Amino acid sequence: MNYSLFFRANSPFLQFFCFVFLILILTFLEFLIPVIEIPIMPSSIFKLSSEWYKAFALTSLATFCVYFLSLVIGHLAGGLAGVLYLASKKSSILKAFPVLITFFYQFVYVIPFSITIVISYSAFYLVFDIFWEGVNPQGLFVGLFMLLVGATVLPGYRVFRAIYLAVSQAKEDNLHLVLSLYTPGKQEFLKKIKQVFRLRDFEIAQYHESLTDAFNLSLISVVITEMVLTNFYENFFPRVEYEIFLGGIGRMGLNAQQALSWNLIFGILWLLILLNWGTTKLIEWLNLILRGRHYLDSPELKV
Amino acid sequence: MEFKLLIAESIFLEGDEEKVDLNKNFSICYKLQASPFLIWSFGEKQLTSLTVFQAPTGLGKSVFIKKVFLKLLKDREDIAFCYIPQNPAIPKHWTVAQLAPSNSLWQDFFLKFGASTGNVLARRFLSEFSGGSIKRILVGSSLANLLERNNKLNVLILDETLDSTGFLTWDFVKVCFDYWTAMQSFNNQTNLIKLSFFVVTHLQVPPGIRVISLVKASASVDQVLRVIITNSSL
Repeated sequence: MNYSLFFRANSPFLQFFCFVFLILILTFLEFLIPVIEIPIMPSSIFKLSSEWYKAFALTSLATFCVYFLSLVIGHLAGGLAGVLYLASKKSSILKAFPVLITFFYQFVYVIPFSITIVISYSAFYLVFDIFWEGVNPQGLFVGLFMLLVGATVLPGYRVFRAIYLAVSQAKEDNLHLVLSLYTPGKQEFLKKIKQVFRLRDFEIAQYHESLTDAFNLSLISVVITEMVLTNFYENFFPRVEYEIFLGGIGRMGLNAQQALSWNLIFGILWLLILLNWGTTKLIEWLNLILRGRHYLDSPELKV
Repeated sequence: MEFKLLIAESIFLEGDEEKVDLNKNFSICYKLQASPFLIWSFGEKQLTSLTVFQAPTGLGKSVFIKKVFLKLLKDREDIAFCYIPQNPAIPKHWTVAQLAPSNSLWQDFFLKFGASTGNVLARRFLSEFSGGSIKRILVGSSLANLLERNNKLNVLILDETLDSTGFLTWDFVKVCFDYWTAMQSFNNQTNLIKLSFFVVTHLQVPPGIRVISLVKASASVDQVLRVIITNSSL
């Protein structure tokens, strides 16, 4: 184990602990000097009720689901468009396909996400009614579909774009090298997929950035979905009685904002920042361990 | 001074005046005024051949290869080619196993240039190798690629790839040829397929290797290339 990785200036591990340390210092100062006790400080976390923590747990869970779904979708879409792009070099008929995929994906991406949510929610019911007239879809399917939409549109596009751009805008030399090297596998399609991911490896920094951005966007898409669709988690956990936390922090935050409860709003914001910061640093750390460490300069090198 | 690229029906091979039939072979030559100047030909009879392409720095060797040579080769379905660019960017988190076939003969081939044991070698990342070793791995991987395509004629174009390997370069080329032949026997191939190395290098070339020099093209590289690109669509 190379322990020097932990203590580099840009180490995600170190950055996360610096952030936690900053929060602790702020909290300590707040208790030490009561004058600066204002709602925006980290101690507002302690003012949250159990409902908020339940909502936060649901939002976090949904964010991780959306993130992993977006990785799958982004890689599939990027890989497919990349393969079609590479294949189009030999067959001009195929040229239109990657362009169409990109155009369609970009079109969906630029539509305001709240509108996408409303349209896809309505579309789901419409399509369901065509096939199963008079039958109400189970909430679980609706919820999963909406998570899928959230994963596809915002974070999925970010991963897709990183992969597709690495192929479509590959440097000539990189393309020559990838096409010249031995690619294991017997099926031509699988070989092309591997070549696409090899081209992605040439733009590894851009790819790593897309993986962390995808998590930020997953969180954003989940919170917007919660804000737009009332009690979104009732789809997964149907209840007879109204439970406020089933709206997620998006809906609870909206209510708190209407009541001007700044303590609660900033409390949940600090929690979200901690979740986001911690997870993105974990993703950066994994990127560093899996791939990034091979590109680090030696500790002796001072530029 | 007028330069023209010819894909002639018949051209003269350097040294002897044997005519090359383009239906079977592939040749490129510059026409310098009246006399054609051979760049490269597939008119080799032996299984493996080596051609060295030399010119002073800045004359446009790499440009010639990318803009002309590769374009011409792409149009030929009967020729498989691999091209390793000059100083390519290399993703160093790739392992050797990703670039080499898993059979024992290829593993031996990779072991020839400085690694410990076979299993360990496969799991080693490219970041653990020196620059010269990485380039030799790339050459080995390209050879495996060519062999797998099983085309009748194969060209491996190395743009100063071997320059960093120093005095071992020509030994390494010999090892490549040996393994090319050995691999075909290993695969029980009855119709042996040809391999031609087209090497751009600044290294001193030992006697007995055909060297093509582009010294005369230094007058106006742009003009030469423009003419060549125009004519390469022929």
